[in-house]
Amino acid sequence: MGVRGLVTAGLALCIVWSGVWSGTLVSAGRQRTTKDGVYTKAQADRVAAIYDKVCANCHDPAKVPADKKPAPPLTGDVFFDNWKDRTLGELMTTIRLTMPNDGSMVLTVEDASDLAALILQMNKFPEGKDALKNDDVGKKTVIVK
Amino acid sequence: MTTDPRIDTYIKKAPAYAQPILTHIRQVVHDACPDVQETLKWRSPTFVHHGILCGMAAFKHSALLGFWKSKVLVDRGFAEVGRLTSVADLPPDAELRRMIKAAMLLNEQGITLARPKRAKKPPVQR
Repeated sequence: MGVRGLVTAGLALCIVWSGVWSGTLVSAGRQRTTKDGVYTKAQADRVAAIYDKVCANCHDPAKVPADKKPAPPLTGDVFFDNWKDRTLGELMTTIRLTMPNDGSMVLTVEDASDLAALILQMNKFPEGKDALKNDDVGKKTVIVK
Repeated sequence: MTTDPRIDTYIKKAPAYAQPILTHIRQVVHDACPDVQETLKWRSPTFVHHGILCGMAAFKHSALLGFWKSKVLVDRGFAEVGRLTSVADLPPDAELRRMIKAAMLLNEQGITLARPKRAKKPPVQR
């Protein structure tokens, strides 16, 4: 093999190597976040009645009775102070196992996923094609600002 | 709702005063934790969800509802459930549901109770 052959082989190796490397990065993917359209509008809409009945009385400042201390708002800076960089899995678990705080109702896994979707919608995160689920993908999704 | 027939038998054989208490506890546990598993541990009805959640027992004059991680629950502001002689002695259902859900959360998060360290036995003197 002459010099030209060696150079050609080296170049080919570089091309193959860079292809493999970039392929690895693509397959590893970046972290899925709440900006990636991780819930559907239908999902947020179908849980609105539960939100109004169960959540708004404490979390919506406009609906909290005057004699009652409001719970942390579910939108804006306070929400992000509490939840930024945490996962939707944590949010869904917190909703399911600590809400409503008075124990008046038991929320199902699906209710908790839908309520998390509604919170994302209220915080103007983009809607997507697939509903948010309490599966590995949904649980690992990171809440970003 | 998955039930264990041995719990049915336990409740049936319990003293008359205790039967409605045990039945009520069982109902509320299943309500708060739909996928809970029932079993018998230490001959008493026990509810399992990612580990032991709580158990109940009936004695001659009083019944008992015990949370496996009650110490953590008390630290988190929940009141301990005392001796039960009627359903009225139980906390209100809403409070009971809160306790059960808090216990579920502890188990799902894998929070365990710190075991007290055993003192080393002194060497045997000969």
